[in-house]
Amino acid sequence: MLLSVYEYVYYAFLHPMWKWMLRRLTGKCELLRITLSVPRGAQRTCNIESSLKHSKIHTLKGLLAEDNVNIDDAVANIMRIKSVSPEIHPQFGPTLRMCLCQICGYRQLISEVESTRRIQYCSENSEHEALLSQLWSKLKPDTQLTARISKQWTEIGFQGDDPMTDFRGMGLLGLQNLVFFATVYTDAARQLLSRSEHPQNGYSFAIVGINITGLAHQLLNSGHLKTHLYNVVHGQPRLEHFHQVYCYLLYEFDKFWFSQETIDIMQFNHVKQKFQKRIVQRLKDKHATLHGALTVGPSNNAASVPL
Amino acid sequence: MGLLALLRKLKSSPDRELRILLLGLDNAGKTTLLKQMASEDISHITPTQGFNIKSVQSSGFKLNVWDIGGQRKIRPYWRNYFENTDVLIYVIDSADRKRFEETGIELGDLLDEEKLMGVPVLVYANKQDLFNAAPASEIAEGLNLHGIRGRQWQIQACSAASGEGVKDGMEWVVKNIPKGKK
Repeated sequence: MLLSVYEYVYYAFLHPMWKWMLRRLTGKCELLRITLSVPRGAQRTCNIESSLKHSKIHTLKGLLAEDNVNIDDAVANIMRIKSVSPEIHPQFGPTLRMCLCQICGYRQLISEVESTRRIQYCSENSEHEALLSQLWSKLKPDTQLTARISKQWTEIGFQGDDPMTDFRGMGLLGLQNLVFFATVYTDAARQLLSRSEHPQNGYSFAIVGINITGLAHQLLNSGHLKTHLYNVVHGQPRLEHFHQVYCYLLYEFDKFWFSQETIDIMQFNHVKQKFQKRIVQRLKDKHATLHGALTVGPSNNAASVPL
Repeated sequence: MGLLALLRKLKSSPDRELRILLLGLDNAGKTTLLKQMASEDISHITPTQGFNIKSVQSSGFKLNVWDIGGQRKIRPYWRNYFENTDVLIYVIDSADRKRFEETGIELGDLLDEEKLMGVPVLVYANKQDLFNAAPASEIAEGLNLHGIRGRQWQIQACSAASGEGVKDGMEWVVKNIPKGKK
């Protein structure tokens, strides 16, 4: 509570005064100062975002709430309002443009991910069914699925004979995540599946996968993924980037799981929380990216960034 | 935490604590029920690997509810949670008629467990909001609940998704706490 009082006082009084003084001293607005002093990456984009958020100018603040912002118009507008001359500061326009693409894109990504999550898996939808059979054939290329409703599904870690009921609150997003992982990182996915079959310490691959979708979705909505996405995607982050983050999380979770001493499946939620804390902690460093062994392929021995 | 909330917390503790075990097949709706009891958002639920635990306040009791995953693979772990159970809640997907037999067998096994002897059992006939849900009376008959001896039991029709019937079940739970706990 104290912190929010401080924050209020700071942004209502101290920060505007400080900004006003700096503006007089340097002759540059805050946005311009950020683009000049902070190198490209999450730190810069986050600073721009914070500056817009606390701006007293309605059009600037509004950029963070509107859908389908026309980025070029917004940049031209800001340069006019802040009287930044493109001749004197040629880098300002393009830099601001990229930051706005990232900021608005992140928000669009949240709504895209959310609408995918809300689509319930439907066995009458041929696209959904095709994705499901793709998941099977990628993970189990040598085994034919004998029927759509079959105990075989438990072999890849679904709970029962129809995976449909396992997607639950993650909907189509859970399936898309799994299919992306199994398709783009097929070797890694098969490796994880076989590790998950360990008789004592194993886990249910697909179910854990769906729980990791829940984690990725949470990290996106809470804004924690900004660090990674702003550092890695120099433009608008898209669904594919979310899938990539998912793959990273699932791959790293598996490593984290087996690094725990004496473990069984009943400790899943405890271990998941521990894992989540570490990821969140790591993303607090504005230079962090979620890249590990997965991006260079699991067969490569390149050391991954430790969690 | 606000001052008022703090005072309220000081005043209402120490509650009488109860250990509630929430079991049933996978996809019966145990986690949704748990979240509904705790008045939490139910739209982001994922299949339970392992277990969830929440403390829920009800009629001056602090109910520590253990929601254990229902997947066949983890049912052998159920027994690790039997000890000191005050009330067993068993959840059934009333619309999944194909699995009535399976769920009946699991419930029968639970009722035969020595560590759960005499423990009151509440059966939630869940998913009553689905058009093809079997009514509670039909389920009670199919599972031969009337043949239960040596313990209190109750069947409660409910929809964990809408919340309907959940409260009625919880009221039964706190009314049927084993003697010595009240």
